[in-house]
Amino acid sequence: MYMGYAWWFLDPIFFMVIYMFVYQYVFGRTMDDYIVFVLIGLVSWRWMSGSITQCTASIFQRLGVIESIAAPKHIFPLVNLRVETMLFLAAFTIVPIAMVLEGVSFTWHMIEFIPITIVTFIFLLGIGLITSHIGSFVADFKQVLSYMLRLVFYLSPVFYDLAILSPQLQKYFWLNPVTSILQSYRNAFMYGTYADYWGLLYVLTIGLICIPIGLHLLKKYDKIYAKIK
Amino acid sequence: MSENVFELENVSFFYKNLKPFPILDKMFNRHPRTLPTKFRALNNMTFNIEKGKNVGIIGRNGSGKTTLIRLLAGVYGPDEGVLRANSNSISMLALGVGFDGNSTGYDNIYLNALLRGHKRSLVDEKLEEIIDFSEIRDFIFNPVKTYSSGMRMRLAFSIAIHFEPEVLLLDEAMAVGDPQFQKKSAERMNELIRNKNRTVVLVSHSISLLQQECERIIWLDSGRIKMIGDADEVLKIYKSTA
Repeated sequence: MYMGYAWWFLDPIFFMVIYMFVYQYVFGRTMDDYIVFVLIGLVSWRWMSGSITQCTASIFQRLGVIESIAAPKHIFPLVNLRVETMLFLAAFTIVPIAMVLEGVSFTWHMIEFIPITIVTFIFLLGIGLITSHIGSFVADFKQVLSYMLRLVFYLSPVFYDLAILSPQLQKYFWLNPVTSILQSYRNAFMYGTYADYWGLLYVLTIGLICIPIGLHLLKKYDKIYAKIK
Repeated sequence: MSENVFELENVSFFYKNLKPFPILDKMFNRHPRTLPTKFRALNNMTFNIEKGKNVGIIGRNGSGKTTLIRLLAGVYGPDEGVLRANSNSISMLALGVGFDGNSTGYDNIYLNALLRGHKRSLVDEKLEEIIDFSEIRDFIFNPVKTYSSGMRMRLAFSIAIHFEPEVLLLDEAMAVGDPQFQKKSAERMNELIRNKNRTVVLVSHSISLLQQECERIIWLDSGRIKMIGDADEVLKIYKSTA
């Protein structure tokens, strides 16, 4: 059975069903329009985690290419991130569909999708450039990364609302850039309010700090990657 | 005065043994990797390659020929010494060609050409010619991992010769495919190699080929230059030791 890109739509739907069960029966909570809430969370999270994972593998999985062509290495994470981003843009169309089905009204705030996505892209590029470097040198980084991503997943309000946490704990959650990104998408689509621009500024800053660091590393070690076997 | 395409000054190159997880490797692997931690593949090389000249590299297996040609291609960088490359149109053709196995042959033509710095419009222009020459039109939309080694080589060869780089680096890639394809490719190759403006560096074990195509020969022996000079002279001595 091969369904290719269809999984980009099916995957959030299946996970939505799972988390609806977890949220309602395990956590014993309910929320209005939970389907829209969790779909925004899952589609955005899949983009973020998928991008970082793909960027991490981007250089060493192309050993055959880099052994015979002297290409600047930042191209590889950038290409993988672009692919993930195109898939995200396609998959996100599921959100307005769910909004219609759930009767969530459309507002002009939905156009804030554009700045939120650009900021997130810059953030992912910064992180991805750095992890593409680390992933090439540390063979076990892929494993470690999967644990780290799982941890961040549970520490981010992907399938639950921050409101279930105590206010003291909530404060720390805003240190996690993913929280601001998810909150912004939900503000724009579910709650019809402004994105969390202070949070996005924080996310953007991380990205803008990481991009030159990543580019510097990839340039500095440009001729070394082909040596790693 | 002729200009140099490559200038090497005291260039040395090491392979380092980069192990993923030595503890686990030692515990569970009954034959843990015991490569020396640092292997000197090229040792203190100084020579120039002039523009428009055809230079052959000869030497036994493991003498550093492929390493040297990758260094010239800019895939590797020297660990010691200085390497200057005075051309931005350098293309390498080797047996382990740079393809992405999961992508189609069609995508790989673009991938390969764009990574070598060619414009998309130029690739569009040459696309049909490349596919025809490589004789794999029926399989061009199949992933490269499904190709036979001959098909891969023909595709790589076809891509490399259609973009006519200023500097062509060939790593034992002359005899490709069946006799029919070999004849066709040899003709194209001769055009490329004999062009007076093109610099060619050719790695080969074939003495007759090197004698025919090259003016100068670099003879490598365990990472050092054993002899460098006029083709006839070097090949005569090489033959007598073989």
